[in-house]
Amino acid sequence: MFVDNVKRKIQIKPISIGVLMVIYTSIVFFSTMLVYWLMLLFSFVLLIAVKKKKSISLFIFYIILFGLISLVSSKCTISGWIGSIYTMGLIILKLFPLWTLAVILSSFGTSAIIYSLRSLQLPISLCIGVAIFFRFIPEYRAYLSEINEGLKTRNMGLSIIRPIHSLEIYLVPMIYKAFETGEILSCALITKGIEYDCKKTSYEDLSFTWKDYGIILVGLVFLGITIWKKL
Amino acid sequence: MEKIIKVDIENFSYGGETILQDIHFSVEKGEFIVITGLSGCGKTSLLRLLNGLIPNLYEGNINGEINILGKPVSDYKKGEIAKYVGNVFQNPNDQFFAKEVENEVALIGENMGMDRPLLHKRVQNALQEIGIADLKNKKVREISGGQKQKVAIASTLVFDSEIIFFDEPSANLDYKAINDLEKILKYLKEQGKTIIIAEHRLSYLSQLLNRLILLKDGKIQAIFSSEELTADVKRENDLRSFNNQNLKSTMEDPDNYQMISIEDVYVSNKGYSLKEPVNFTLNLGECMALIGENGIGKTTLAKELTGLIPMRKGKTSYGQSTSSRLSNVAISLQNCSNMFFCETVEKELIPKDKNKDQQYLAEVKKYLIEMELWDKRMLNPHDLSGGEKQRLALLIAFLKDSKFIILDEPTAGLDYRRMVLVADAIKKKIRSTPVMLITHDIELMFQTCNTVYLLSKNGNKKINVRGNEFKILDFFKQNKY
Repeated sequence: MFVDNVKRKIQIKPISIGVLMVIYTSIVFFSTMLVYWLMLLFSFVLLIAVKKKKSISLFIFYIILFGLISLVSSKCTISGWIGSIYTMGLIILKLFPLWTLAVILSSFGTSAIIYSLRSLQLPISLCIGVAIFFRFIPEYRAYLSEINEGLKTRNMGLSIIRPIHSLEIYLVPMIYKAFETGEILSCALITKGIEYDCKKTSYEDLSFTWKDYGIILVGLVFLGITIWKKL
Repeated sequence: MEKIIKVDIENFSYGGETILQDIHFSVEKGEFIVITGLSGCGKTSLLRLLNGLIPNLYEGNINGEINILGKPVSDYKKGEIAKYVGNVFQNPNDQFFAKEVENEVALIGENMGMDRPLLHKRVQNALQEIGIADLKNKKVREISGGQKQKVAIASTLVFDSEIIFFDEPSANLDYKAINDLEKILKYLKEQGKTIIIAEHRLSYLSQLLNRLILLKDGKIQAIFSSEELTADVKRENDLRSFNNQNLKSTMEDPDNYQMISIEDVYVSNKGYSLKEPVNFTLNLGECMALIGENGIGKTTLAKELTGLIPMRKGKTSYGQSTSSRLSNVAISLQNCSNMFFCETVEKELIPKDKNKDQQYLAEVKKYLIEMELWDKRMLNPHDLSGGEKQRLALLIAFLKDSKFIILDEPTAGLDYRRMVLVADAIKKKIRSTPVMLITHDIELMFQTCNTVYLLSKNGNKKINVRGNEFKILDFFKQNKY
């Protein structure tokens, strides 16, 4: 009797994006340039559907990086440290369709991700770990800026002469913060019955629609073309 | 009346150390119980035993039994107790799992396998009951601390838990949010919920509680009814005030010798700005409280005055550039864990160039003893308890050679005895360096501050604390003067 009131918020499901990520990962280094461009385009189309603002900033970042890499390859000799940075840039560009999908995945709610992973029969500890990772990505940016403030108040800072110490002063508080957050979150999850043995449900409607089947089909087409071209 | 909880603990120990001993009490359905005592007395351990986190997540040896709804806690299936018992934790920032408010409230229903249509109805009802239906689609990290606690309470209503445990729910809340919490607790009590709260702050609970259980060194020291909560009981047991309305300032006026001046500084950061500029002076012997509603810009102002962020306009007597302000101001941050970068407490306080400075070392020792941190000096600062971290951050600020000290919420969640330690240290320090204190802790303010700066949307004003106690309490309630 309540079905009509249930809001269908999620248009694309985490599982379909997850399947697409697996397909992209398996072909991204072997695909032709045409398939690469198609993969990139398709990822951006999906991102626009989920996070319009984010897609603009990510697109601008891609254009700038692409421009820089093109400039370096035409104007500089690719060797030494320039070569290292150039290679890193190339890898980032190559994996960009995957980054874009990861951004889409991070936009899903934590419980939606957990439910999706659970429905794939993955162990509960793995499901929680992955979900917490996505939940806390934005938090870590805030932690870093808080640590920066702490350093300033102590008149401390990064030093090129002591790179390990510099890394340590950021890393150690981050690790402790991660432990602390993990402990509090574990308490909250356990007392909310995460371990209770029953058929779990989801607040969001996560059943597959034609859009999800369509996404997976497009991914399979990319996979098919790549295999066909390699044969 | 039906006994809903029965606690019979002969002994609970962890790592060979006895944490709780001879804890025997029972709770009737609909009772409102407050557990209090100094930090380390065993409150949190008792609560963890009640909600099953011990031994589920935390280790320990228990000799005894706890019955909830007529069944030993150990007989419940893993996670099953969540159906009957709701929990609200101290830290409103890290206890949430979902991104949106409605998903967070729904989490327990998802875990218990509640059908989606019913779950939607229950979530909607829970949000309405607590008065936060308008927050339904908000991101959890974008709402205030008080609202976060309301979300945590709403989630306990989804499964209509009969029993709710709270672990220091007011520790990070401002005055208004604590008032809201009090109203919600009153409502829950009227609904017949059985409530157990571990808490230091007692003023907002004294009218609600049926019994106050006082723990000392892991044992029940006494059990009081609400009628027995007198000034003598408070004094004899080092408890926080039972009624903030009766508090009076004990501070004298400061000297006339001006040390710091702040002129026309605008509170402004990331698109937010307060209409009226901030102007004040601080004299020798002065501790000025800075108060105002959450989000008004107290911490932003502190960061501007410290040099952590640039000032849009205005000037300070101790430096115009951010670097000069950073070197002339000492601050203890609200999130004080972010100020620790050394392996031990001792190293945090003794920089390498002071290793041989006997006078400095003697001062550090005196401070460590006064703040009850001497035995902890070889520990990693991140391994200290919340209250110990706050006291260490305070010492870092006090030991810095500075012209002005800013303390941002140095006593949030501290018990009375430790709050008095902090208050005494501040009173000594202002003899040489003026202090600005951002706080919602009225007891601390009335014990340490001679003046108070009221920051509000309709203007700012500095007044003396002594003689204006009611005005200040009113400002806390209304957020305007």
